[in-house]
Amino acid sequence: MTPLIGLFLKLSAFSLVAFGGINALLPVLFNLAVNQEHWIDAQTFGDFFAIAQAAPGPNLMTVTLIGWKISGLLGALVATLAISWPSSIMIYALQRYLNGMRNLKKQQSIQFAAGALAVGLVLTASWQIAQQINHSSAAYALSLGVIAITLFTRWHPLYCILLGAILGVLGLV
Amino acid sequence: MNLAVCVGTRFAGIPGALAAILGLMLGPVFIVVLLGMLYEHFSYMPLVQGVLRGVSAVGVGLIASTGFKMLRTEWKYPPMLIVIALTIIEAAYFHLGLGWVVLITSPLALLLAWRKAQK
Repeated sequence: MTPLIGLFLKLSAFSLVAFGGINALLPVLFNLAVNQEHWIDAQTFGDFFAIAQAAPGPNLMTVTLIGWKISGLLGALVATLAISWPSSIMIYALQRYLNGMRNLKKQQSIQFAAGALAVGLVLTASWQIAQQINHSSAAYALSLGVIAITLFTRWHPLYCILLGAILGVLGLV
Repeated sequence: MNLAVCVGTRFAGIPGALAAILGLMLGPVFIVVLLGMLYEHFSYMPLVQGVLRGVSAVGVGLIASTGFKMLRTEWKYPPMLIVIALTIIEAAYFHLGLGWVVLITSPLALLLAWRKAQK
């Protein structure tokens, strides 16, 4: 039972700072799961990240898989719950606070400011996590290609994932 | 996820938020655990390793592209780009933690956001 409690507490604490979305904090999660707690190794983190990307559902499924690795189905449920509840409560409170504001300009200002910070954090996080997950220049090229595809075409992300799988099987990445 | 909480709250308060989270998560959790079990059995295969290498590189690209898409809307008010640059420098170059980044950047961010809101 002890590892489950540790998992729940650590992930709940992580979720408290992750209310901006898990993407901005993937490097922090990597650090927690691989370097600090040794729940999984770097390779497994990358693999879990890939599975979570390909699977339906939100990106925080990486966390679900980490929980599953530690203690099976129960671990998966505990990890998912732990990562969800603090940020959900904070979002709920923030939304009520913003909706309750009389001054529309003030409300907008907070949203604009938070939005700008989120952009910087997500871009930084994707760069940092790329350094952990991409092991070849071909992998970086593929990541850049996906950025270009999503920005300039209307391809569904699933096609990008399919493309990545095919390139991977062919040994090109 | 956060969207689910907002919509759930709109329609049925806290119970709505909880229901939205549960509904959103339960199916995907079981599917991803199933995939995890498959991974456990077949991850020794070079084929599977190749797929995961390719897909993880794509995943990195997808996350970066959410950032770039948000960046695109920020061009409507170019001074805000200073805030974004500042955030990136603090986090990527000086390796400051999230708390510090928010603390240092938010005064300027709020000031510029206030001006943006006046337009």
